[in-house]
Amino acid sequence: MSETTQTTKLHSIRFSPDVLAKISPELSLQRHLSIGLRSNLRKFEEFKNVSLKETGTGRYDDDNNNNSCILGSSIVKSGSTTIICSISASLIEDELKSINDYSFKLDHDIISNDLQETINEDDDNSFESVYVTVKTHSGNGSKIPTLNEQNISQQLYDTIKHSKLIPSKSLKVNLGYLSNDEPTTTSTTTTTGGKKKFKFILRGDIEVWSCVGPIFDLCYASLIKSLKCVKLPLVYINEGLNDINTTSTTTSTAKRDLLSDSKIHYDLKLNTGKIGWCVTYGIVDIDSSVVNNTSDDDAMDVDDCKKSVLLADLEGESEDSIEKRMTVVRTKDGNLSQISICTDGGFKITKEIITRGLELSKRRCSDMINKY
Amino acid sequence: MSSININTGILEQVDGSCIFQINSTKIISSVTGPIESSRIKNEIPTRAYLDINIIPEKGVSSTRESLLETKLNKILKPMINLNLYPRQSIQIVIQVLKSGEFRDYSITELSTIVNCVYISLLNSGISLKSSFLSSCCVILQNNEIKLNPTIDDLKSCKSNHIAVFNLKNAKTDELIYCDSLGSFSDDQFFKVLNYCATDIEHNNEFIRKSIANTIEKDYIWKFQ
Amino acid sequence: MTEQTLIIPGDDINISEPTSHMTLGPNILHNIENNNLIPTTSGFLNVQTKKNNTIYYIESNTKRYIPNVNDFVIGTVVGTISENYRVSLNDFSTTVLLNQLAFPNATKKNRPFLKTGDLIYARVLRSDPDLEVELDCIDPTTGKEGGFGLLNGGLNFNVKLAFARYLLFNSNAEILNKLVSKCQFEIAIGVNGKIWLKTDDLKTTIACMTSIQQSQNWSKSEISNKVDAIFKSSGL
Repeated sequence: MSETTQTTKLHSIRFSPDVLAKISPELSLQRHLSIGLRSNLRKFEEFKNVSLKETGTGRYDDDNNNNSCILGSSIVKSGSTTIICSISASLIEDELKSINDYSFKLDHDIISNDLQETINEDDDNSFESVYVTVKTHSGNGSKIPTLNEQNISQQLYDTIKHSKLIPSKSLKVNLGYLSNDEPTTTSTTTTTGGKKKFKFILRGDIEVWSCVGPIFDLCYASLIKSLKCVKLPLVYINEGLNDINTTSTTTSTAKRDLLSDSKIHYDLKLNTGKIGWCVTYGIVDIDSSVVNNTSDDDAMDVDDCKKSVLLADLEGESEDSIEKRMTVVRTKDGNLSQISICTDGGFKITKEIITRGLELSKRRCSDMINKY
Repeated sequence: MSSININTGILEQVDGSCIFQINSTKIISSVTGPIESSRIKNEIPTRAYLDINIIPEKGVSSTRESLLETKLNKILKPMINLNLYPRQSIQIVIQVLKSGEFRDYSITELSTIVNCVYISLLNSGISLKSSFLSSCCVILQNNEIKLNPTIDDLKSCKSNHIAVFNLKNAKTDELIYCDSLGSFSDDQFFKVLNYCATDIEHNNEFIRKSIANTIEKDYIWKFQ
Repeated sequence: MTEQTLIIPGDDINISEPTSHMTLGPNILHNIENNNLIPTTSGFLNVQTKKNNTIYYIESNTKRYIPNVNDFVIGTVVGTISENYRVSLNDFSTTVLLNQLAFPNATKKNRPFLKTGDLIYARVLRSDPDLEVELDCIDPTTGKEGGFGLLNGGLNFNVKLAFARYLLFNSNAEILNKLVSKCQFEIAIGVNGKIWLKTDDLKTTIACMTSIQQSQNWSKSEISNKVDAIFKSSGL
């Protein structure tokens, strides 16, 4: 360094928008929002288009597909994101139901005074859910589910369970006969099924490709779409074994010989009023010092120096950094089935912003619910 | 009426600890920190990393617990001055002693965990932005809102709710977190938030007294 | 102490004279936006007015020590890194540095040699959350030893941080006065909650340690009788 009076000029470094979004997502977000734009060129409260389709690869969708174990599936596309959800089922013995069963109690001499209550206890109040595995294909090749995947799976399970979408009785197995003379005509009387009760357990596999934001909304949509087209098989006991069963000597072998029909099926009955649509918003604080009041304000007060706006369907790196979020699931009957709100220590979450979010979800829900 | 029982500073080897019991839910939690991050991955250059572990009442942790951990992380992150401890870790371990609900639900557990961790954090002296407390409730079939639900209430309820508020001068100020599941209307949702806020203010009186007791016990050598 | 009130995070701190100078001590942050003081933990609010300056801090008891400049601490040497010793002030906390030349009159050739496991009494020289904390063993006013350096022999034990501060800053703390009347001892108190104690024989050392540790749970009036009882039960 020479000891002259030369002044050194520090040049500001310029980053291209996509680099800035990676380095400083918050700054990139504020820059975009201050001119009333989002990096994906959508309006603040504009949702992304979502297309829902049945894949038609299920067991009963195609005559040649009788060995498939997929009972219902769907494909959901939104922007570059593609989600495929497939639903399969397994049979388990419903132990609780067996114990409460009258004939079981008769056999085991455990009939007591509270029998009346246990029998009257109807299935109407209990609801089932789907055990979901979410897999996002992001190219890291990891086989272990990430924390995010685990959380989405568990959240989907909770949401479906508490939304009371699948009544327990829809998953109850009505055991039928298989007669050797006419292999395909079976009778479906429940009394013939022996002492054991069975039920279906639904499993959902959700695979996500090229996700660009929070995927819970789309996963939920794909799961509902799939559930709507689930066709459960007719299950029957092999006749030969049925004879043994009636002698009540070997009952334990019956489980093995449950067969599900390759042709005859029935639709899964859902509580249609509880079908919902899920929306996730990011809530962003716009700092008045950055805003130049040039934004084309829709439903915002420009006078208020500290304002929060809702961003619908977050997308991209800069918007992924928003931690203040609100998730709303609104059902067909106009009620809500889930709301989660979390904050980031920024501005207060006001009642107005929540109300706005709920209002938008109502509109979005009525638009989308018919697409299922 | 809810019965609360608080026991602070019971663990010797950690920086802060607390047993919190409300009705039939009982949680013990410990806070250690700021300590050196055990993994390079957890060293965040600008703030502390929250290492949260929830151990269920029975069995091993499952996806249910990891979702609870994520939720707790979301609640605690805006409440702790994490930027004061760059590259460090704050370790929070929670053991559920009595769950008080079925595994399909998690509201009474989560709300008790939040309250328990809050007192543990105060006990450990970790820098907080504000006080915060949580409350939970259900809407019964007759549309009545019931705070601190029992196991039977949960079984028959229409919806279950949890809310976390921060406290400013012993008054609830700001919504930090809320999670509602079930079937409910918009109005009911806002009503629930108000109910929870009132309940929190009510519980705060007792909790504050208990905190004051702990501090006075800590400084007993100062008094005659 | 002029004023003591219990405070928890979220409570407002009333600024008595907003015009005068303010100094913020531990556990209080300043919110620049609305010029409020924010308490960050629960404890006693201390407000002291000296001349033109008001000092605000919250006295709170913790177990983990966070280094601050000019604190007197007791540390354990846990290793050597090039020119520095690595010193542990707290279990599981990030270790701090002590330069090998940070001793009075130390030169490249003539410097104290410390082994892993040695106890030292030192002063915090630098503490910045983004840099490594550094200690030194020189009294900044005189440039001499000033009591710092290697602690030879003796016994090291932990007390609550608030109690350690009280003992260090109150030269006539009741418990120490009482012990002085009982026996002869050397003591070093670190604000990181560690106390080093050395007496002539083991029995007295243990009796002193028990007295100090247990006096954390005694009120002032109980000290005299209880210390007598401890010394009596150890046969002194």
